[in-house]
Amino acid sequence: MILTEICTSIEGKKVFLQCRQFNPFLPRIDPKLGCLIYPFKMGVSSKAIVEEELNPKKHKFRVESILDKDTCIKGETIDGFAIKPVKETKIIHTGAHRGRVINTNCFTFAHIEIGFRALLQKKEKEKKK
Amino acid sequence: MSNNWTVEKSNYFSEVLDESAPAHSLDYLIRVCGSTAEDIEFSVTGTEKFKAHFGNIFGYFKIVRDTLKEVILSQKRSLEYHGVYNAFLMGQTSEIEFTKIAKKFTYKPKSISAKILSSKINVLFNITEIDYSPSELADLFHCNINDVTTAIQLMPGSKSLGDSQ
Repeated sequence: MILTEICTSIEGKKVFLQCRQFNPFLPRIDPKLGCLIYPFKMGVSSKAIVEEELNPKKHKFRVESILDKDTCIKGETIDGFAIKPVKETKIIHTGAHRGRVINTNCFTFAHIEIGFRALLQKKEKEKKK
Repeated sequence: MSNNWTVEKSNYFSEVLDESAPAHSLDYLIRVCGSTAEDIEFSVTGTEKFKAHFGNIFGYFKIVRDTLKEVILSQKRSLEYHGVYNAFLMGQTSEIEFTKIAKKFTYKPKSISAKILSSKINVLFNITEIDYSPSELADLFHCNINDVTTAIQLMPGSKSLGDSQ
């Protein structure tokens, strides 16, 4: 299942991440999870797939997240975090394009991010309604 | 009008912006301008009005200065972290070592009022014209993404933001 709608998110025990731009953010303590998380942002043809489901299959971070195996989210930018530093990266070649592939081995959350302007436009649309 | 007027030194008006100066019931500033003694024009304004005008400007620039300082410090910290992270990716540091170093960069998200955060984001956008994403803004201001999305929605409409894209 491939999902592309803004604000869609996935959670998994192991997640496959693919992108052409990977930005790690400063680690922070998440008040919801109560532990250290390693946030990141992926850009340019980014996608994330649940490789292994959570056990027990329950939301840990966001109740709207999809937890099913093989669920794929695709977006211009995907933000998220892993609870361990993300390391295993590989460069893959598909035809003329290259991309970075990352396999996380711990709880990972990924979310299709809403852009700055889209967020402002959303507010205006809601006002009009 | 005589030509033997002397220009007072600026410290004559020093108490205009001095908060501790006693308030007077009659307090005006008079502007005298003209190219010759014959065409001199006077204009009068209330000192409080004058003070409030400059107070607003100073207040705005204090927010600008504080926001830029916060962003620059945050960016410097991120740059340092990226250096450490790159070393980890290249296998120069083990995961245990990296986790220890990463802890020094760790922050606990601050709870900033949506209104203050909104004015900071607005200032940053007006100065840089960069469409930072909510996750980037959360990283810059060390707060939660949800707080950022709420703050962006408090910002003035997109029309006032111009068209940088």
